[in-house]
Amino acid sequence: MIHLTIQQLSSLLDEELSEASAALAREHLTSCESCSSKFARLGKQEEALARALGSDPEDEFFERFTRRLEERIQSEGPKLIPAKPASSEREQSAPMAHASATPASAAHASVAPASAAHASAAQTSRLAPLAPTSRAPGSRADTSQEAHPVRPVYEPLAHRILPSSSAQRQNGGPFPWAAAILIVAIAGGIGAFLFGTELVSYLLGASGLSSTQPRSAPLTRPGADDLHPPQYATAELGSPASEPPTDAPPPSTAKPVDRTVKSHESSTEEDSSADLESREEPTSGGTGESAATYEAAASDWEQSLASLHGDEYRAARLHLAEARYRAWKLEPTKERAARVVGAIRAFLVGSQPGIDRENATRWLSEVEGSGY
Amino acid sequence: MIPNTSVSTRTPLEFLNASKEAELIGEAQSGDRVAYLNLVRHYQRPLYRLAYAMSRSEEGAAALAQEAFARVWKDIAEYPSGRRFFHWLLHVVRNLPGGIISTSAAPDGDDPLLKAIEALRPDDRMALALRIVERVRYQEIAALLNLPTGIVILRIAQARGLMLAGTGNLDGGEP
Repeated sequence: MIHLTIQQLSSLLDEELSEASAALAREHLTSCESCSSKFARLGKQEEALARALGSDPEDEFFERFTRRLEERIQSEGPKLIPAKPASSEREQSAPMAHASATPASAAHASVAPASAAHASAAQTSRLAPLAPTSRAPGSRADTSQEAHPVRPVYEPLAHRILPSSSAQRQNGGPFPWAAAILIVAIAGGIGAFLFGTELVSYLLGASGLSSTQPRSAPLTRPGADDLHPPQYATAELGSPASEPPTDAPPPSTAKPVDRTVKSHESSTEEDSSADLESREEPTSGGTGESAATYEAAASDWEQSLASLHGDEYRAARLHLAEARYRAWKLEPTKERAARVVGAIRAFLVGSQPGIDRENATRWLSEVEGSGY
Repeated sequence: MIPNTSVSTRTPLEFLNASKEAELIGEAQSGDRVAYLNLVRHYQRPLYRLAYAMSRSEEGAAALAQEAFARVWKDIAEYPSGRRFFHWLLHVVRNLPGGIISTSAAPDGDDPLLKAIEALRPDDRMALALRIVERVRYQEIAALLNLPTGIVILRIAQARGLMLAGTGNLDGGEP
């Protein structure tokens, strides 16, 4: 007896055979136990596959998805082509949308300081590498966004981080502080290259700029294994910039330590030294490090993603992946391995070649090769 | 007796009306974010589902879909005239660094079915996902993946056969 091929069975399953072929195949199935059994197993497998491959989140998930994308594309305008004018009806219904998508518009100008603050926040966040620096959904920033739908959620934070730069620049202020800080940082970098790091570190520390470390520093230097998750001290919960997301999981498992997540404004030399001191103890014993604290940090980063975009979003993705990886490293489980892989892949999507990508790829290989 | 093989109750991928889609794309190319977000709202669910089927990571799937939509918006001026939006979206997703094609499924412990999925080639997994998750017809899958229809039929069948073999339900990928 000639049996049906897997292609024929598969096509029959998908109802992609012609009527005549399908009729012949069905006739064969009624008389061939082997093919009928195989077809039945294919059908059962199909049901299992549909369950395994399927994920259909609720509408709220996609509403958040669209909001996040909207925030992102507000700051990353398209390369426009000379276009036909939009209809007046649409302009009336969404005037801000047009304005913010036009590079020279006033709306776009109002986004720029926030973007500068994002970069600054991303840089300073490296002081506490696993601590999210922005608000999570549901925080006060979200409230302001609802009142002004096209205003970037990060704008209030921008004013906090750069009180004299973003605000004054918008008002034609006298001095571009952000540019000045950038110039000093570049000069510091050149100095470090020319004169060694100790002198420059001292100078930067003395001027309060020691927090402006390269984005990838904690990952690139030896001892990168000793990253610490955020520790939210009770005394700091009221501080606007260090306040954890309102819906963040309580860091109940975190052992209280002196080093806490500092606000951007209050980053001081002591912060740096405390931070570096705390990094000298990579083991889980006695430092407050545990898989649970890293998981808590990861949750915080995860929640912060909703209000970030651009470089800061990508930096948060990296922190999230790293926190997940550290948690798995300390206490490997299958569930943690799956979460690490998901977080790393999410970071790798669209990430540029570089040390961060290499590190993330290495972590991924390690987790995938571990059997977990 | 022939078994009942209906497997999914999900709403399959539905394309927007072609002229409406072209209109929205044209407006997006003029910088109309609202028009673009209308396209996003229509296609975000199937794109996410497809990304999830490839990675089985909600986080990874959402990030991938976000990146794809953001890229298409950024390069909307270069959108190829006459091409369906979802086709272009899939093209972008497949070419993202770290994107769908370089994605393997998350580690799954001991589940033989999930291991069998992981063992599939990414292109085969995508063809299968389009069929199973989005219930796309072979001809449409061929257009989406830019492959001849015959190759799509072969790959889907082989993938199913390999998985049956991988889960111990069949002696080999081919009868």
